[in-house]
Amino acid sequence: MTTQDDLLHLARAVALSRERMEANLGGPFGAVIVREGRVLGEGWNEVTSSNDPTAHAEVTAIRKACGALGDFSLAGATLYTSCEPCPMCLASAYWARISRIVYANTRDEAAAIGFDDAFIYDEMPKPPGERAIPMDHVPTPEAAAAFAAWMAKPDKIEY
Amino acid sequence: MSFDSKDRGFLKRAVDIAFEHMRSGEGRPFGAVLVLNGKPLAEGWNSVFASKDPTAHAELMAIRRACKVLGHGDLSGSVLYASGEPCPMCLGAMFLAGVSRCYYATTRQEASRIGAQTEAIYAEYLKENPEERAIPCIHAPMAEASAAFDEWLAKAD
Ligand SMILES: [Zn+2]
Ligand SMILES: [Zn+2]
Repeated sequence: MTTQDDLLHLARAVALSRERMEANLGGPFGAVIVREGRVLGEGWNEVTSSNDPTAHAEVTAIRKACGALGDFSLAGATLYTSCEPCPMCLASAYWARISRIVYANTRDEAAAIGFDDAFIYDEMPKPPGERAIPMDHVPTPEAAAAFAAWMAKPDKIEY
Repeated sequence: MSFDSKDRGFLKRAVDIAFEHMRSGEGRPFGAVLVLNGKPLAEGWNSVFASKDPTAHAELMAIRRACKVLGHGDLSGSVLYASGEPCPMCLGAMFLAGVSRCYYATTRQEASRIGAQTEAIYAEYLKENPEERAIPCIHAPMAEASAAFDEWLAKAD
């Protein structure tokens, strides 16, 4: 279900995707974060211009919105993005406590123009040892101790 | 799996970083070291609380710093040592950056026990229908969005 307001914010995300691509900042991806009608942050793909492979539109918008608010939680906010989020950006939305995501282009459409997130999506559910990036679990007593120290920490921030 | 004393040293360093920055109150206890050709390239730690940035995970920060050091976004051949199993966000970033291998000391299940949502977020990727996720993802096709993709394809540079 989308409202007229949803479509306006989504159109802004799409406009950003086009503008910033034309300015050669990166691929055609834009994002806008809105809560109760207020725009909290905007982002666009800056991967090539900033040499930062994590500078996707959604991650950038989340970072800007949190920076502007001084809060690591965006609970209640909607993320409008010109394209379906990749696995990295989807998870960043969970960590930011985003409440809803609205997107225009799909991951298949992104793959058709050379941005293939489908491969990474396929890797997500695999057991770590079976991924294209080999991952090995090496338990150490020190690492377990770090978690125990966190549990025992009296002034830890809960979120 | 080959895991020698050098590997153990880097993993130990990742854990030391986790301790250090947890104690200073910057974030939850997670640290990471990125190594290229046997040499540490960058370190990262969870600084979510200090920076008010929910994406400031140890692995993501190490990746961003490493790319800055190298002046490009390709970390092919690098090895990531993480005190905790990377979450889907950091794993996605590892794929985007081309990290070649990863060693980690604690699992997503252990992270759940200290209140981190890594395990729960991984479970979200098993849902077939994006609208049924804990964060509903709604598809609203838009002609202008398709046009932006067409323009990318036609772009000469
Ligand atoms: Zn992304
Ligand atoms: Zn992470």
